[in-house]
Amino acid sequence: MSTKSFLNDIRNGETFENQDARNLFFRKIALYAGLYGAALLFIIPYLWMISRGFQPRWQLFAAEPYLIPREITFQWYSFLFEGTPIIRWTINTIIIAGGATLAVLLVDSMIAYSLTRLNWPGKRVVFSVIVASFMVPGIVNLIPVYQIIVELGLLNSYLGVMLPVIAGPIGVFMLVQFFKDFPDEIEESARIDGFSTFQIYTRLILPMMKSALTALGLFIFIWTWNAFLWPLILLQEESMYTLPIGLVVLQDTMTAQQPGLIMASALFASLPLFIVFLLLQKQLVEAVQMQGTVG
Amino acid sequence: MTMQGDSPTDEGSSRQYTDRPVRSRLNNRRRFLQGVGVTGAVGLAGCVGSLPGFGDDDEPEAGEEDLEGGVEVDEGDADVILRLDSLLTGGDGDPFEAMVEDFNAQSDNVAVEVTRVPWDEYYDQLFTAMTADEAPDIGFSHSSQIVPFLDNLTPLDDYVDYDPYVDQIVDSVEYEGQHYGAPLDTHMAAAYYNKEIYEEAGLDPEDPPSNWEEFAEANDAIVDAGYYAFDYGTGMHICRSWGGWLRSRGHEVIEGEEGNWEPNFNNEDGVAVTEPLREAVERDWTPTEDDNSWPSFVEGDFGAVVDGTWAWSRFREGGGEELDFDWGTYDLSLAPGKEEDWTMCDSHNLIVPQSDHSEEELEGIGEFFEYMTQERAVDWSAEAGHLAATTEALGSDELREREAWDYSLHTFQDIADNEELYYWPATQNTDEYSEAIYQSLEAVRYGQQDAQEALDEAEQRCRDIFS
Amino acid sequence: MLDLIAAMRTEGPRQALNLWWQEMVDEYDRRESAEGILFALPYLIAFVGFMLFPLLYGFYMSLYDWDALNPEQSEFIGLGNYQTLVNDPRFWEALWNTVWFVILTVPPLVILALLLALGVNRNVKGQTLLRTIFFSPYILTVAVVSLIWVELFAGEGGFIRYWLGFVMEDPPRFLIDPTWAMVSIAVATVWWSIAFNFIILLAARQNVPDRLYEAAKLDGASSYRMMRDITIPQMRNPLIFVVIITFVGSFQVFGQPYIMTDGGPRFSTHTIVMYLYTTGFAGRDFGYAAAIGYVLFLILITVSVVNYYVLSENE
Repeated sequence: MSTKSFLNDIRNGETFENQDARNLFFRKIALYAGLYGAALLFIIPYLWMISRGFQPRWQLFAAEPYLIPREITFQWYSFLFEGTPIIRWTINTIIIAGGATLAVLLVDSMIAYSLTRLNWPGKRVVFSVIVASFMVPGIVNLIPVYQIIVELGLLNSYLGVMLPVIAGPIGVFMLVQFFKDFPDEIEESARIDGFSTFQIYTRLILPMMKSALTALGLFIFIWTWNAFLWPLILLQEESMYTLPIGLVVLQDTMTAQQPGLIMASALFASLPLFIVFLLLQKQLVEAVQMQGTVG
Repeated sequence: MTMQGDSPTDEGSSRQYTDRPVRSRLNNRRRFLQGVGVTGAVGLAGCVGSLPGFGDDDEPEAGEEDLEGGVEVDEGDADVILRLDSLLTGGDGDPFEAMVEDFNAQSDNVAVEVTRVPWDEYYDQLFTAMTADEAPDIGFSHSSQIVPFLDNLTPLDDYVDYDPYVDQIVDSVEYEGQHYGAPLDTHMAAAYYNKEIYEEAGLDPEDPPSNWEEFAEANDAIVDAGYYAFDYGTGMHICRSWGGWLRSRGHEVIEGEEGNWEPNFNNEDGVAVTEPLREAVERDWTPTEDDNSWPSFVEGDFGAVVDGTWAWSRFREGGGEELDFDWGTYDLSLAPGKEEDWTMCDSHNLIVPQSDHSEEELEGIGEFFEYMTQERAVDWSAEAGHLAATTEALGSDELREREAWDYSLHTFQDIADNEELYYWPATQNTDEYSEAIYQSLEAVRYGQQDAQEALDEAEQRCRDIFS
Repeated sequence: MLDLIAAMRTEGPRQALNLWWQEMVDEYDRRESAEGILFALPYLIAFVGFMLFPLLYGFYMSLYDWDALNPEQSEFIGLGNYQTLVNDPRFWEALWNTVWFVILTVPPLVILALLLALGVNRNVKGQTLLRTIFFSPYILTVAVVSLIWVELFAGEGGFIRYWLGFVMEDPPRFLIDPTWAMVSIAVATVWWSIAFNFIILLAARQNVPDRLYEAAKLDGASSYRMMRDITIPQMRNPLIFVVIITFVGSFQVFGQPYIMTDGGPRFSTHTIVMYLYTTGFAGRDFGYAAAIGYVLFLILITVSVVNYYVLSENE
């Protein structure tokens, strides 16, 4: 029942005749207040970020904060594009996140296919080890992986940032759950039609598992786009930085705080994923929920 | 779209700082973390071109190439091409690179290529590059930061003539009889003060304070005139005055040698130089948090702030943050009850972080080092604002004729002449012990701990770090 | 595998191997096996190279006084690094700070996420909008989150302090006060990370069959009882997952304190991963840093296992 009808009831003098209805009414009010109150609190940081990036200096440094700008300036943005390598950082981030995502999708779907549809000695053990590696927090391997990357001569390279992402077990596990449910009959009839293993993989599995792959791809893309500690250690030159690293370096290299510029850079760095988010929210929700079922 | 300068409200904005409580923000982040005398505090002006809002409010002048700075060399330009990673960005990065280009032009067979690395990440990156055997041929090291790299640096005695340098400066890169760096300069912090505010407060702008009593009196007068008077800063900046003050009362901040350092500040003298940090807040010289002090100084609304020699490269014409008021500098050796004058300093040194160079390369490096640090010492000093490291440059009339002399260099020259240079002790973990100290000093400034408690805690942390 | 070992005892190694091989040939199609392994190989190389091997290599490194600049000169010191660690006050301080962060973040991240999920699942107007809002921080990087909240928590003139000023005298100076700095970081973290838990719990709630509630309603059960007897038990597995994941994530906090406070004031936000990072890359002590990583690993395994047993037996 909607709030509106309750209000009508009140007007008609019909409510609160019994305890239950009154409770229900107040509960509904509390629910709406709680949810929308929380939602309001949740968007304040966004509003702050957006608004501050358009405020001129005198507002940024005034004693009282302006959530709504009194006047709008684009100076921080024009400075951001002309005076900092933010475009370069964006390109780097796209390369790294895109590259890692493609690699993960390829490699994970191959092994998931192999683990679910093909029979080979030792595969149970292999799968158990992969699942067990879930328990390994990324941070444990930070130092040794760094040492390995260095030995491979991959310090300060895109590949160095991507490789450890590919080793992550979550994609394998997620895809195995989905590939398991792929109908045997389809595969069998394909075999009878003379499809090779490779053809089954490319022509049947991949197209039919598109939604699972999209979800995984989204997850990996966002994960890599946002990664902080690992690229911070590995990337050595300003021209190699990803957005998250660039933003922090930008903030740190300034003598005095430049809140306008920083908020502008934050908004710009979030925008691509935000657009992806709005366009593909449904798939993204699925991606996260898949992880829930994994657990 | 309204640009800043067009707006009617903007007109009086800078003056608002004195009428209203100034917004100040947290800023003890990595700004000063990376060690003493980090030139990188040069700021955005240097790092990413000049920023809108300081100095001229009209048009944002984005320096397009600034972050991309550096010097490029084409293959085939010279027999020996040397790669240099520079931590100098902007203000002093530009003159440095101009000098490198001059060197390349005048040298027959050696050319040097410069890449900029953000100073904030410099030493971590130098270290990671060294682990990967990808260190540049030439690097930078502050004297305070050199110890952890010593094992992997090439001693330079055979390639660089060390006679021309000032003894005290050269001592800071000498370990076991060998020199591991070519000192480009020495740089220290000083108080940068607004002469107009001094006048307004009824003080003689040409006679800045030289001891605690004068300093306190001047600050009180400035407060009475309606301005904040002085800011010690936060982070490593606090140590810049505090460390010299401690030394002026007869204590080095730590004593001993590598492997056996002992904190030496938790004593009566330590307390005496720590208490003023809080006193400054209580007497309204300083806002509790420091963040807006520096911008308000630039806007002309703050008596004095602590900054390094490098500030010159921003404040001078074309530096991006020209001050539109008359300003000067004075020595920070102002400790209450000081026995001697000491001022904390550090040096930029050029180093060779690899051991596998050919003799030809090493000679090229030596040639380059002597050119940069000796032949061009006057230019470096006058453009970048740091104090030259050679006796000849320091004594030269040429230096005295340059613009920087009257503003800041003469102050630094006096410090060097009086042999007041106090190098912050360099250890295996300089950053860590410095951080332990300044975090406690900040707590005093914020009124969270009294001086004695803070020093107790800092001492304990230093012991943990050195053990 | 065990069969093989048993057979080796009874039949002798040679015979046993032969038998085992024969079995394999019988059981597996050779071509299919080859294809299977080939398909698995690319991932397995990455997995071994950047997951399994480093795990062992890290332990190996932790037994050395590792010289990162000249690894061949590293000195074997056995469990020396671990011994130092136990007596290292800075390690314990960082560990305690981290535990404090975990205490501050895990309950709100689980309970608030649950409440939001249950609330949004009710038939409220604007369900999609609410879900979008609560989920959206998920796509932000820690750098952006931290930079925004540094601004919000700023000193005089900062948004939060300014508005708090109307309801209290002298609001806390969040990021420079040792008592409040970690709390502030926790607030930023909750805003950022609640999205993940929220979405998972929302799905979990939607999977609870409606008929259970209908039946309970017929019995006149109060909504509190329905929550206790139906909702929570039905959502047990996702809840356990969320709790464990949140614990593990919070224990590894790095970016927020690194950007917002750099471990200060007075090291009150210096967490264990920050300590690992500084030890390794600023202190240049890889062996010690690897040891810290291993100890953290053990802590996380223990916490996860304890969580699992406590939560699943709590029927």
